[in-house]
Amino acid sequence: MLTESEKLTYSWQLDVPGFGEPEQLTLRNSTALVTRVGGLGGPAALSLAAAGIGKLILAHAGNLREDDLNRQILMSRDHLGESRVNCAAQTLKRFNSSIEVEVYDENVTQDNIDKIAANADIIFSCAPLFEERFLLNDAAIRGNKKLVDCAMYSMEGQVMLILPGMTPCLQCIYPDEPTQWKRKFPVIGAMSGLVAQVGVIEGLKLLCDFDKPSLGTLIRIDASSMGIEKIKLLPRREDCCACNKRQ
Amino acid sequence: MKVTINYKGQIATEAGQAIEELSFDEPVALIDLLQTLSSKAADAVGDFIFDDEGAPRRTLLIVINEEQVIDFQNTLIKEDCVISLLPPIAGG
Repeated sequence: MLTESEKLTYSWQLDVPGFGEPEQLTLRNSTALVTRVGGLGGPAALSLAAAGIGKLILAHAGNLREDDLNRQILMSRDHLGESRVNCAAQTLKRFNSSIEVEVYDENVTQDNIDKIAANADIIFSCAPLFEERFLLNDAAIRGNKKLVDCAMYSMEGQVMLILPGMTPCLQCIYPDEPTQWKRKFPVIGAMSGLVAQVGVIEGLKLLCDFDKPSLGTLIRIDASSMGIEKIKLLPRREDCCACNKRQ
Repeated sequence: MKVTINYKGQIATEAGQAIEELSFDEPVALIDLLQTLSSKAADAVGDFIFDDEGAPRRTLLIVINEEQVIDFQNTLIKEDCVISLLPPIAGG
């Protein structure tokens, strides 16, 4: 049961059709991995904390730099030079002290992915490199975990929900390593935040089994024209190197 | 007949435009449309469409009228088709 304090804290969202006490309890009993916690992962983690996720696992290496500040809203100028992920955890705990936050001051790699993802029910993939995104995709498929892949570039963004064994995965749509992706990309913080919020909404639907998550589609957000379209994806590739790792 | 091409992501950056209209005398196969695009565009745009062996890149998402397409030979582009070329993005 929800406590009286929880009923009060979440009373406004408990009025959303289809989202009631059972869904709030599901959320409270769930763990979300968010990696990384920059322009996209930071706002995603904040909204998950606001919604009442039980536990957040955050993974992000390195210390805060001045050129992070236009978008990494869990950090502030007085934390320059300090661990990004620790700054993020402090902000999230101040915002919602009832959630548990576990931090890894490292980006996901082949060596640490199983440890970092082991206890997650849902993964929010917000990393700026395909190498990391493919590791998260693999971990979700091997561990039968829900995955929300959120990505952006300039005034465009996209969100893809992955349910292992049911929907196409990231490697179904990108079977090869995208060698042309450049690490530095144009970004206004509000745009990465916008994509994060679409990802969280879809992730909450998926996690709490309410409303209609956009399965089998690629949600594309174009802030230049202010349009959102849902692209119908083909079914899973039979020769997908990631899907075929499913137990 | 006219078809509309939407360039997205880094392709739009390289092409210097987001939308292009092409005219053909009759319906064309997707692969022929891509080759036409590649031949008239800057090299950087062509590099997003075809790999070094001249095969369409499998990392380029091609969307026709809001549906993903991977059959380059048998997909016929007809009047008023809207084709979007979506290179992979991973900004986070």
